[in-house]
Amino acid sequence: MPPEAPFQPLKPVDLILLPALAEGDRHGYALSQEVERRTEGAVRLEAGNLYRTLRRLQGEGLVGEAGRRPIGEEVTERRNYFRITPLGLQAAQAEVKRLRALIASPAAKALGRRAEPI
Amino acid sequence: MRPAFVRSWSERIYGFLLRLYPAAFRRQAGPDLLEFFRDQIHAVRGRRFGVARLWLRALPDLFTSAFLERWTALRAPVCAPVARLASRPGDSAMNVFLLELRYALRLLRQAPMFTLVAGLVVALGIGAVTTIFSAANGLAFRPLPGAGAPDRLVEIHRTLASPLRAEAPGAGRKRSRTRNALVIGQISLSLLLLVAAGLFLRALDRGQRVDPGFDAAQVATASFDTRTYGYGEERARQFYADLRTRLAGRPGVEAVSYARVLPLSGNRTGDEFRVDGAAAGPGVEGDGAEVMLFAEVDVDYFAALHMPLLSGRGFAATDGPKAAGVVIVNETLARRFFPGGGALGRTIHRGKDPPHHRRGRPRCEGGVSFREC
Repeated sequence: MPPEAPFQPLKPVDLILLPALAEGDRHGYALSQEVERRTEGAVRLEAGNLYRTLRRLQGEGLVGEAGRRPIGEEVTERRNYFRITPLGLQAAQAEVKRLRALIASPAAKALGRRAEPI
Repeated sequence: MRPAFVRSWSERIYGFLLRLYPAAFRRQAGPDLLEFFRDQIHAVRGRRFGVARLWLRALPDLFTSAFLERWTALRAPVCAPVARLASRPGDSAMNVFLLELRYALRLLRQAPMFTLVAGLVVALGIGAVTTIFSAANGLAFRPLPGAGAPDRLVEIHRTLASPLRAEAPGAGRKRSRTRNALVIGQISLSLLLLVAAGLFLRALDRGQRVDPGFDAAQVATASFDTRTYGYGEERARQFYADLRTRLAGRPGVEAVSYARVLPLSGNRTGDEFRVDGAAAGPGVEGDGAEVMLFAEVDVDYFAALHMPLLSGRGFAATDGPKAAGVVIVNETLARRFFPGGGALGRTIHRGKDPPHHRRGRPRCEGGVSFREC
């Protein structure tokens, strides 16, 4: 593993969550909605799965907590917001770069040509 | 709008089911999970069978993630004592099996709810399989009751179009073709499994011959999380200190240490670090900020794993939480940032914060040989 890319390859779900967080801090439910919107319903993250992934990303230093914020005026409970860390952003960018290079490789291009309808 | 403290039955049940998760996870994510579920209920309210459909999605997620979380909690050590022994007595397969068994029983006793649910699921599974097999055996594989020679029984039926044909021509051939296909499928699958098993064995053999840069022979490790036993920080510190003294006092123990992450265990922690005065060597860009992986370890860690220090000193008991930070870097890092040598005494900054925000700037106090693998 080269020293400049210790988090590569990222898991597919990480590469969906990290860009969704890069746009701004989000709480769990908003994050899952955003993921569903971005993937056009193909990926649907349920609560348990999502929070397990977020906890792992927190442990790896890719995601941090942005604190709790109140839900509304009448409601006293608070929501936990998540924020991407600079390290997380860097890891996601590096992964996108790696995948781009992979797709741009001659072998991948040849495969793309073969897959085209005749 | 309904106030948040009025909870629906669904929320109450979901809240109760959250107990399936390990305590540490529940403490941290429990309120958020409940909030998430409340949002989901809010979103499906008014739709036909909305709440029922939501439960159909939420329950499998809850069971699966709770199981996986418990599994991960068992596998991922928060603190692992590492002890080097002069010899490890009784390392036979049977002994190891009994140790694992006792450990498993202790874990099950600590999580009665999890044990109960797991037991029920297994019992249900066994019950269902037994019922299906008994029914199949009784109906399909047993001779008909009352028939003296069941293999001589024939079925005769007549259709209007072909009054004398009991069976369409070629039916026997079709049956044998199906049987052949089944046999071929079975053999292919068996061959596939055999090849996969062979590949696994080869990978295992190769993995065992890799030189990881440390000597794991005669090293015993254990892992536990004091938080799951409800220990606060102070009590946990005291426990670790006591355990170290007790282990070190046992005959045959050469060195005892702790590590948050064991090498090659698959767990990793990383952050961005900046090395002060790093030479602009190959691959060093800008201000020398790099993402690096690190592990938090205790005194004598390198002695316990027989990792030689190439220069400087190892961690000492005086390097406590109140002392200035100390870091030991591997050979690759030292060579990368300081190709001409002189990594000792340099300062490393963690993260993007300005240095004065940190309690103590870790200074490089030692170099350790740790080969890339």
